[in-house]
Amino acid sequence: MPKTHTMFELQGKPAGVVTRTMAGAVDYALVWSTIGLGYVGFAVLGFLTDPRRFSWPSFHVSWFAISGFVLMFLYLWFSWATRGKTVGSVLLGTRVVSASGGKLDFVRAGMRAGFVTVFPIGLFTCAITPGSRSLHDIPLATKVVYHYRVDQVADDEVNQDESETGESIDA
Amino acid sequence: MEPANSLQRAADLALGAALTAAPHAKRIATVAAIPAVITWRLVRKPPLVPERYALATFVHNLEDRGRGARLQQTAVVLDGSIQLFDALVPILVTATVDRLDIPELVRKAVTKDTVDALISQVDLADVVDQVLTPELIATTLSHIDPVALTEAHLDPVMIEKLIALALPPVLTAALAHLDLTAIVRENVDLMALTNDVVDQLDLAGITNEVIDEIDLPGIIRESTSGVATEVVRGTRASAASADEAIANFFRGRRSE
Repeated sequence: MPKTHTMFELQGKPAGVVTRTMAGAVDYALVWSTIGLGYVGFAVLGFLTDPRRFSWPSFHVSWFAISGFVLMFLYLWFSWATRGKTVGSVLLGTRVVSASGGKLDFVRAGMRAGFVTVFPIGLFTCAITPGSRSLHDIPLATKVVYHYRVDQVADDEVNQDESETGESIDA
Repeated sequence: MEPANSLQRAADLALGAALTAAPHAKRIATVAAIPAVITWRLVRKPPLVPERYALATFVHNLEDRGRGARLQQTAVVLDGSIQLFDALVPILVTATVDRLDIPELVRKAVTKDTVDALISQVDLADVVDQVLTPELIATTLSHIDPVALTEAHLDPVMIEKLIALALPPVLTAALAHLDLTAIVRENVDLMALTNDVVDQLDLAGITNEVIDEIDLPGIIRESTSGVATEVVRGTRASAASADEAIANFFRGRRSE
């Protein structure tokens, strides 16, 4: 059974495939929820403008796909170019950084956003590569690390110290 | 007949005369008394003589003078005797008491048996009934001013101490014998009392104050935030553990 690490121990280390997948799932859910809400909003707008002849808007599925990809691309680009974090990353405590650990520049963030949007399945290669690097990270020299809030890490550090003290006493 | 001297002959003569006169003495005395009494009365109060010069008056004055002198002397002697008695009695009593072992005498005289016998002979209830009559008690109480008595003998500090000492046990004992709940139920109109209290209470104001004091939004925010934080931390920990498990799995495969 794997050892449970604390936030303090994981901070700054490469994030694993499960964490990154869950963060990606949150981001996908967010984007596609936005698309769905946009569709509903469009329908409500149509109902308000002409209630008598209201009918649900009919779009080709490709419009949804294109809208979703565009929104996903823009969302990821903006998130990684600014804080290096999407909503999913914030929830799961990860951050996209350069190989040196710094923030991605605007171009590289855009290139990574496009790569992830077009080929999201490349994420799973981080499970087998050294340093948990996905297919997007290798050519762009980026990585995804655990990055928790400073106060939570500090709390965890205190808890870890108390735990270690207790163990040494028990020993 | 033997010869006798002259003295004996005189005596014999007197005796013979007396024996001869004796049977007739009463008659002779009666006959002789009448002129004697008349004569004595004439001598005491002679006729035609002023009373102040009469022998009776003179004799009477002498009697009065003698009686006065006798009474005066008697009083003087009596006073002297009393003074002497007053002077002597303390001296004698003191000397007597000094020579007596009174405690020993009392110890011998006052024994338990004698005291018991005395007490058995005394009907205390009867004594109390006779001495402490309602009239006597009423009269005595009428002469007592409780307020003045209290002011004269009890200062506030003493009163407070008395109350502090006496009141708690008295109240406790009194309350132990009382069923306060039953008394209140029987004698107090609880509904009216409650209505009065409720009327005087600004329930709306109190409620508003309580609500103002409670930071409900803050409490909800903190509790919600706490729950959400715990969920997020748990999810992160689980995900990190799964990360490591998968990484270990593939690391093991690579090393094989």
